[in-house]
Amino acid sequence: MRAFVYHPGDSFLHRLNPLTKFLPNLPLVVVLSLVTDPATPAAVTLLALGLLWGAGRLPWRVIWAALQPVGIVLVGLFWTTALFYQGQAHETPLVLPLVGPTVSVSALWYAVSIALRVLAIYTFSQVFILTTDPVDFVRALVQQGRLSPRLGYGVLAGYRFIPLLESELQNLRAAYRVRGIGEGRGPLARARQVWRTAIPLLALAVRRAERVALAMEARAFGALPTRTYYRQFRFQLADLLFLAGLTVALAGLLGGLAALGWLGQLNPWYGSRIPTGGS
Amino acid sequence: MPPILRVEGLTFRYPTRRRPALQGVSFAVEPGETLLVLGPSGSGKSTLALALNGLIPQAIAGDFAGRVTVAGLETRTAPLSRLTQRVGLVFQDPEAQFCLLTVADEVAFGLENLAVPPAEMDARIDRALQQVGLLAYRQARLDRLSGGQKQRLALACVLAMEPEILVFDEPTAHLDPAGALALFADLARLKATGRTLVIIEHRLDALMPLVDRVLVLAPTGQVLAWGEPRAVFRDHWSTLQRLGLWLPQVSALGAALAERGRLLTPFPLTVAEAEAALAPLLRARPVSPTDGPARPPALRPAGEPVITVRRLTYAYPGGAPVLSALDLTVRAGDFLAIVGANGAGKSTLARLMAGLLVPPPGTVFLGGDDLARLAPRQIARRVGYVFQNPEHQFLTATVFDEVAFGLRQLRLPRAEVERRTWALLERLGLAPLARAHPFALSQGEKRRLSVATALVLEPEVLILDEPTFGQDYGQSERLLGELQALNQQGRTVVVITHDMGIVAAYARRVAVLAGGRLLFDGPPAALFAQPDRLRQAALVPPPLVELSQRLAATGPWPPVCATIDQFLAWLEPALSERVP
Repeated sequence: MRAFVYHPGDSFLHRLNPLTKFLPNLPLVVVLSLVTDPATPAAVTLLALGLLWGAGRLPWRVIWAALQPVGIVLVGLFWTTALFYQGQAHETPLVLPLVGPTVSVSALWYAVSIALRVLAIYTFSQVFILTTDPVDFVRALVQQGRLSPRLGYGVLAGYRFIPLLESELQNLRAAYRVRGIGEGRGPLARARQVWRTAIPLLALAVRRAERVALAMEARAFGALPTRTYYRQFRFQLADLLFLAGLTVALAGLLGGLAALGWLGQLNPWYGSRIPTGGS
Repeated sequence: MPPILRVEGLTFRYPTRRRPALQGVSFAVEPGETLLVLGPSGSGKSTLALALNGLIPQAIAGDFAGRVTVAGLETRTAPLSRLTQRVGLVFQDPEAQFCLLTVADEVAFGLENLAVPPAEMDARIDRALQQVGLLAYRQARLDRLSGGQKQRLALACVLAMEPEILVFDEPTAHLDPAGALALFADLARLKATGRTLVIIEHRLDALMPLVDRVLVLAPTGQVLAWGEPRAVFRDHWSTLQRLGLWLPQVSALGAALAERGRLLTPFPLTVAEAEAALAPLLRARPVSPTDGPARPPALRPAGEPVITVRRLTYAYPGGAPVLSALDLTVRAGDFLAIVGANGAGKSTLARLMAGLLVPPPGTVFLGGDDLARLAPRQIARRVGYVFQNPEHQFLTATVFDEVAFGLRQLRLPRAEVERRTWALLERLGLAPLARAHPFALSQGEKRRLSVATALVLEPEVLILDEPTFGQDYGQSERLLGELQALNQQGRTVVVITHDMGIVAAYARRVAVLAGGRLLFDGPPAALFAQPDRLRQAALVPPPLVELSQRLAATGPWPPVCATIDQFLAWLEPALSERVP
């Protein structure tokens, strides 16, 4: 099970226009970097998980596997923030049971909030990543996003190259091995290996790219000013409903938290001011 | 009928080249005809293909003179959108023709480019896939297709655009024999529907029944011959041979007989024609099974095992096993051919035997040593490996350095490095090119250089992955002659190949792989006597074997002649007495 991989399906989320799933990520990042409390990101995370499970019909093990990479980042982020954040002078330092150094309560609070924000942004991005075929995303970018077809289909052709380049790389490494040069260990050997293979790999990629480009032109790519689409993407009612629903849910969430007094101070200069904690 | 394709005085020079790729080429093709284009590498065949639908000069600029007219459109001025609908192009490399991920999307791509209404697309996609037998793969991802299927998909992609003329540039170069035959079967069906075909190809034996016209290009890009295939092959045989072109094997037999004063009529182009011409001759003067060629020279007693493969099962990470419980012994002095369909595990086996992939411990042995426990440097001294694509293995900037590389790795004294490198360069005829860049060599020279890089370490075994890939007949014969000479000096040679002609003419032993298992291990003649075994492994016997078997089925004649020499020796009694 790998992260950042599309999980095919036919759910409500899968059928949405890729752009509908992609776009909300942008304002969400802004909002989540403004809030400083842990409650908002926690709620957004739960919302994203609910969407993945309910509207995306993804099995929990897929969602769990997709979240693994961020886990490691979060643990690291949490501890570095907790340890290096200067607490307020009047605070009594706290000794955590598992680590030696002392940490202040506000630092701990801040670390939780930072980690949760990263988790929330990551989890919400999975709504897009897990339910969208990358090819469809490029298609939607071309069809609704006004991306030039030349660029869009060029990117797609490049996407096809990745496994091919992998096998070319295997070939090149084999070419060294067959002359009696092993892989070597350590960062120096790795760097040397990358250097040795980079140029021939690039040369091969360029040559292949030229051939693909020619094959595409032979099939009239770019020969007409307009083109039609076999798989057509549109903004449909479902997209509208999704975006409206999402806006309402997020607004309600923020409003609710604010009403409960859980919404911390908004922090327009991210990380530059000391949060007050959940008072 | 007026020609559907007319080329008049076509000359084209790429901006970066001094000499034109094509010079004053003229010919015409009538609707429904099939044109075969032959020529040595660098004679402008691919350039011609690109000029037929206007990509030259519209997408690739250069000095263009003359005129190309297809279905009434002049390629220099007509819009590419219309030209590409008239002339479909299928290229050589199945990996470099696609830009999407699934079969249906890929076929749709051309239709989208032509702004076909989406409502019509499904029907056209279905029809195109139907014509190449890939309808069942409509939803499949491209990476699930074999090389042969990819080429047929490339064909479907152009068929969906409903062109009247189809141009193929070496479409079977990357395919195994079964894949090539399947593509040829598609071509035959297309021809039957009245399509005009232009085919650049070197596997001619199975293709000849379709061909109406042959165009031969000279190394200078000029037309060397043009006309009916029988006339071209008969009248220009020695020139074609001198150019080193791949030619139909039965025609080669016909030419060899003609040289001995026995002209077959008609001059044979296909196995069926050769059979028809030879059968009466043999009936008039039967050859008894005891006549004819002596048994092939007795094999030298097999030597000590050099490579022993024992119950080898191998899978790439995350994949199904490519090889299962395989046993194979390569003995000193062997000339072993490993054959099988694409995906049968040939290359994987060869790479494991050369230590390019690390085998599980206790499965591959060099002499008595477990290969899994040897360092790359130790393996490289004992097993030489030559890649399918020579360009994949060049690591330095000159021919000399390329050959010296392995010796320098061994930290040998400078004088010895120089001596051994020069000796080998001389021997392979590469000495005059010692200062050239490896990539600047011709295909044949690149191949010889790649063999030299492996030979310089004087390994006990030399393993070559498809050594004749991308080589013309002359280059290929020269290379195999060199390998045979090495073998006769006692070097062990292992060749992976699709070319059953090589197996017949050079190998002492042949191992057939199918689905990761060993299906056959023995002398080539024994394999050719078992057509079922061949079919099972998706292999195709060499045309001469097919011919001799067909003849044997109709008279008291000895079966299985695999080479021209064997055939001639066998026919000698029937020919010695001239019919008055």
